Amino acid sequence: MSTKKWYKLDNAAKIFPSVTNKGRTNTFRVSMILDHEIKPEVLQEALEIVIKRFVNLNVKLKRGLFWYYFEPNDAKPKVVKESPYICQSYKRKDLNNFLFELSYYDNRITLETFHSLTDGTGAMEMLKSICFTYLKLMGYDVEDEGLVLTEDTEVRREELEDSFVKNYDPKVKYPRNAGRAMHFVGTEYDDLWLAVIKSIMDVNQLKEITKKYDCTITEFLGSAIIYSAYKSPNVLEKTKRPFKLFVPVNLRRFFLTQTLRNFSLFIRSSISFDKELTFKDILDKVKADFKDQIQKDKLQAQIVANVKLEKNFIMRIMPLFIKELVLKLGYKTWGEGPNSLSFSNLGVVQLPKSMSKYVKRINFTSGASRGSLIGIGVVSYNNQLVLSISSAMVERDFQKNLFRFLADEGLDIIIETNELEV
Amino acid sequence: MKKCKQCRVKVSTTRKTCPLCGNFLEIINDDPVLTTYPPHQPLVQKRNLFLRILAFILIVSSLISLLINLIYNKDNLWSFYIIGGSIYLWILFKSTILSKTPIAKKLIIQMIVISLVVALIDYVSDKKLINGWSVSYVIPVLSFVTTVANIIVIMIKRMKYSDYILYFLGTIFLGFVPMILYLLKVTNILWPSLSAACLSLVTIIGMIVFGDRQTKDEIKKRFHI
Repeated sequence: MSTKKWYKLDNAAKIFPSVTNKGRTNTFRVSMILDHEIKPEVLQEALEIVIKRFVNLNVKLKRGLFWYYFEPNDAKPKVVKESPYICQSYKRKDLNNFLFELSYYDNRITLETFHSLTDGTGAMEMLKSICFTYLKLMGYDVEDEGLVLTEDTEVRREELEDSFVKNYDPKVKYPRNAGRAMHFVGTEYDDLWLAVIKSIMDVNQLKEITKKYDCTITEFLGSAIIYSAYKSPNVLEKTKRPFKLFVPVNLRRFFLTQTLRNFSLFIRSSISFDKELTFKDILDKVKADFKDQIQKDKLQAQIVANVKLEKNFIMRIMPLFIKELVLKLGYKTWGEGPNSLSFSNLGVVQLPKSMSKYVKRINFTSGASRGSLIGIGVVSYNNQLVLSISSAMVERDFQKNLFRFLADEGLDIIIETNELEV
Repeated sequence: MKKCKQCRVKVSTTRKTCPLCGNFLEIINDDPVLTTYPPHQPLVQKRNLFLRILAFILIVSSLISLLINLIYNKDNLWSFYIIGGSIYLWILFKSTILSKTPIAKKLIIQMIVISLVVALIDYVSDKKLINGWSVSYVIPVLSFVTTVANIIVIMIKRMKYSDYILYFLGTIFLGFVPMILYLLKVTNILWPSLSAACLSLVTIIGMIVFGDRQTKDEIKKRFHI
């Protein structure tokens, strides 16, 4: 596909351009903290090298009569100093029509990506590649060890494929159910500020705890999150609707693919706060939901349902401006409505040994929005797990309860925050 | 590094109080903070004062004239000339002079807006649209001129061809509208409508005969379903 001049948005990417605005940016950030202060000129050079390799990053979004599409971007992407406002909308003039932004601050390199380009896993691949090239240009002795896509790795056709469509099988049936969930409510920041609290934990300590509970780290943290929400009724809607945790699932685990575009779906763990709950109750429910929903055939069914929508004839011949109207209305009900909170675990990032000497920490932040006030991103690297909570509201009850709970479970936590005084 | 006794977490910060609960932090050691963040700055909102003043003047003058019109002479709706003119002025500044959209798009916007405003004025002055001067002469001629202008733009700015093509095609197809109006008997003057339609037809044939791969690719991606 690399020789082709343009390509369609993948199945998951199609919705985002239509539902993105200043308060709901569908952007997330991954960053690496190195052991020295970043030299912007070198980073710029690294970006210009890497961008040629990542065909799917080097694009601009164009409007057709029926669908959006990507076209190669001839402009030069610019490295900028990190903005205090994280995860801003891609609809900005200073981006030169690119849908990502590479920035630096002190010893941190940050890649913010619009979700139409790729998902967390894809973005992390690109960030790895950028940092690798940067370190190499700085004169460090780094080897890719087969873990990083470097400039001289060939662009494989599979990297650009829409794996959703590839795994489409019209015979599988999928029931849709997505009732509205309980949402967070609170005092929203009056500009587009997102407060971020990052917490650093030790993976070995976490493993001891999860062994005790007989669950995975994602299940444990997910349950802790629900439990803390349960303990923070004053930042939740007063409603009988259930609390639903939205958990993206990386489909690369289940389907063979090399794609660097979107290839993740989600599951939801749903629990009603009507009755008295203990942490154990929640954990049992979360474990059951995970076990029930994270199965290849169920995920495939979900793929089918999504692709079917895109292949629907009426949907296809509907002019884009009408389609956008439908998607905008539908997104509130079907996209945001059924999720109380998004909790995304990118898993463990492996770096080449020669490179990991210089990389102190990796962060992943999934941006909150005005429709979903809290977003949580988790990534592990080098036995260190970083859980980062972004929040569009001033209240800290939920975060406080979460960290107090985790501390009570015996975790040593270090937190840091991007906010000055509120 | 600091510590919050209540939250039982370490806090790497220069703050004095805990970001979670607001209680005072206890200092454990003098290690520098792990990472730093760019300090908060208020977002500057750019507002175009000129456009705001223009909008204010246009809205107020339209409303005042409408009011005077309705009070003193209901039979002659002269205020619609002012309202039509205001709408046109607004589009002229907002989407043409101060906008950075491709020229072909500006041309098509101008064509549509002028056509509508002219039709409005025609309707208000004659109380009817059938056989009015707007549909008979002005709109077909406008369409003709816009198509010619677009052809010239494309000849000159070949580089930006791909940005223009969608609007160019739009202009060509709108060129058939006056002819349709003639067939629907909205007007009975044939030659202006026919000229516009013929020019559109000739342009389409020209595009098919002379159009290169680029044209076809561009059409393919713009119209993929």
